[in-house]
Amino acid sequence: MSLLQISDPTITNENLKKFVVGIDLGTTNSLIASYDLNLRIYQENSSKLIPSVVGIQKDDNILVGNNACLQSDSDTTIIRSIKRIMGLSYEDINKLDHQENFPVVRAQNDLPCIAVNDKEYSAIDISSKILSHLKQLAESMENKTLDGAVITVPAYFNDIQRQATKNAAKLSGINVLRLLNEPTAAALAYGLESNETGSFVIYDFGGGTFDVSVLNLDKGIFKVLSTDGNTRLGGDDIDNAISIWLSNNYSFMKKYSYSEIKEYAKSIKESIANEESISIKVNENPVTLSQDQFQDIIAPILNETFEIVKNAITASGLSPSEIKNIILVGGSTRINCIKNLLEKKFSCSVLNNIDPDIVVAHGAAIQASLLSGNNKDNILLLDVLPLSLGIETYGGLAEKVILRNTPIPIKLRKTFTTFKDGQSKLLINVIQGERELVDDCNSLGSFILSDIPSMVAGGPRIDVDFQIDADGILSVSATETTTGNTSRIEVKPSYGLSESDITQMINDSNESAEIDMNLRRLNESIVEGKRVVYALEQALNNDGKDLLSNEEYQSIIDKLDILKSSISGDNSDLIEHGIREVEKQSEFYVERRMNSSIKSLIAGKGIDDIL
Amino acid sequence: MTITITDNAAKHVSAHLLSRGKGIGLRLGVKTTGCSGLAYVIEFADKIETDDKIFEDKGIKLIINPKSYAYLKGTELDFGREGLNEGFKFNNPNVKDKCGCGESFNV
Repeated sequence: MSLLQISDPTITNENLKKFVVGIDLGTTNSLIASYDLNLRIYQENSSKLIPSVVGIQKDDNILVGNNACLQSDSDTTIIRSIKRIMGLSYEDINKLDHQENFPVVRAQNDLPCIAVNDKEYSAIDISSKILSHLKQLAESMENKTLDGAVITVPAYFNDIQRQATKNAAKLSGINVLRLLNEPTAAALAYGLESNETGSFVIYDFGGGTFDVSVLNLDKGIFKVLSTDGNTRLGGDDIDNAISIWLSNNYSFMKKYSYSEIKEYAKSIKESIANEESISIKVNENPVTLSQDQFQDIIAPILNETFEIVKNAITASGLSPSEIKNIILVGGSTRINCIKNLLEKKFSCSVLNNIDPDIVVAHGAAIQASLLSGNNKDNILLLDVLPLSLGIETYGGLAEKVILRNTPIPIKLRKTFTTFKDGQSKLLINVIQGERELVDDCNSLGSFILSDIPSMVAGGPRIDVDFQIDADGILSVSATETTTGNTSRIEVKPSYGLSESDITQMINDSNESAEIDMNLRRLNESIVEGKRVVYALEQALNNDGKDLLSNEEYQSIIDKLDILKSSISGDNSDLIEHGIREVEKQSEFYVERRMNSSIKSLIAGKGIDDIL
Repeated sequence: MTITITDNAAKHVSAHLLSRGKGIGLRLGVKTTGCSGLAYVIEFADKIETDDKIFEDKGIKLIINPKSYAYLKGTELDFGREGLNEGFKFNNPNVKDKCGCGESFNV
């Protein structure tokens, strides 16, 4: 036998580890992060938040992120909030309440585009610039090529908007492992998937948008029950409310421009958090604001968000008492009283211990790490196959194609062949389970691949593809490679099995390992025995009478009969013995067959023809 | 039935473990692959799973999951040299036949 070396599981993991990230592609800011035991956020100029801003200079040079924000000259066209028009048609954009600060023109195929310097950029183009920038940032910091990314999208994004996001990623050379709903990402960051079931509200209060999602968790899979929000409600509105209060209460504010006042408002908002009251000096003039006053000022805005939460819960069909947690996402949720007010209003615990700015990217990074198969041992796998999947092979044996605990989505191929000469059909029985025999596994469904061209046993190549998508839908297809004939089936792998069924099946497979091993051996010997019988009988029918004397013929038939009767029993040793006996008895016959076929091949031919 | 290790193999395993600097023992197992059905797996073990069977021989912990154990009962792990190569060998009494390349085996 070959000599083996000890392999090191940790080293091979390190080599196989893929560089994958989570990307929170936001309206105002974006983040890119990876998760490998710890969260790593790729920063630009020491800021985690990278402005989702693209600047296009006169010479068509593109600037992204903080660099674009710094450009204030009129030579650079600044494009912000491109996410608002992702996947929208020209008509959709015209219907928006607020026109964006960039001129949208209609281009070919009705695709809305932004015209800059005689060039046209679609929303996908602009988004791809942001994504490329994020990709470069992460790649230069890790000094590795990016293998894939999970990109988050709002839960309310429709298929077109999702596809647009995917296309933008493609354009920037990013392999999208999956699009993930932003609220689901936040829930993942908090590890909520380890709960069996439950309903959660994600309260996402960002700089310019407010989104609420109600999620339901069932067996580790999140489902979005309802979404609601206001795309024009955010931290900006809070700054404005404080600015107005400042102007109304301090007459000296008149000396300042609105944007200057807003800067003061912002700093008040950021520093008041837990304070009873704060005082700042604006050019020697004292300004004081108490916590109560502050809460009064922002109350109208917060009340609007609470109304939206209520509506979202109503729309989800749940009662408020069924909500387990509210998760805070978005920078504006740093305002402390939001947590207290939510707790009071909806009487459930509010989660806010992960930085609300990064929680979505955090969840996306975890998901990316899971999907790529990194960190298998270190964190709970969310989307993995609970039981192995495979097909039935000749003799009732279970041939596994995708093993248990493989992260999904996944696609795997195995090649099979026929057992009999001229076999024209193949029954593909898709099975699920850990046991060696089909009878002990679940059959998920079966289909027939027909019109296999007539060939000797083992001749045809039949590729069987197993594909499981992100939603856990399994599709199995079988293709005969010479003709390209294909048959397929779609099934839900976990259908009808509860968590305890699955545990039971895995335990059974451990307990019955030895019985299974013996059964496997028996079945394999039966299959082998049948193959020998079949091949020999075919040969004997063909030329047995010509090449063998009557006695020789009979001696082989006798051994064959012994083998045949042992096959119907359950003693694998006996079958294997029978096979050896038959092979011994027919050795000279095989030799004669070889000689005669070689003779017939070379008969009447010159040496040159053969060599 | 136990799993054992020869003196020579034990010497090499301890040397490997020492140079690696961590690891509690050696994990042995089988996986389905190759042309004849099953192939051996031999790797450093950093932790023990709940179902694992553990055998200690000549100071080396040999860790095997219960499914693999069915195929490895009575196996002796040996270290040998063949031509220029040296490496580990499984002397497995359960083996009925092997494939030509020596990668895989049948029970």
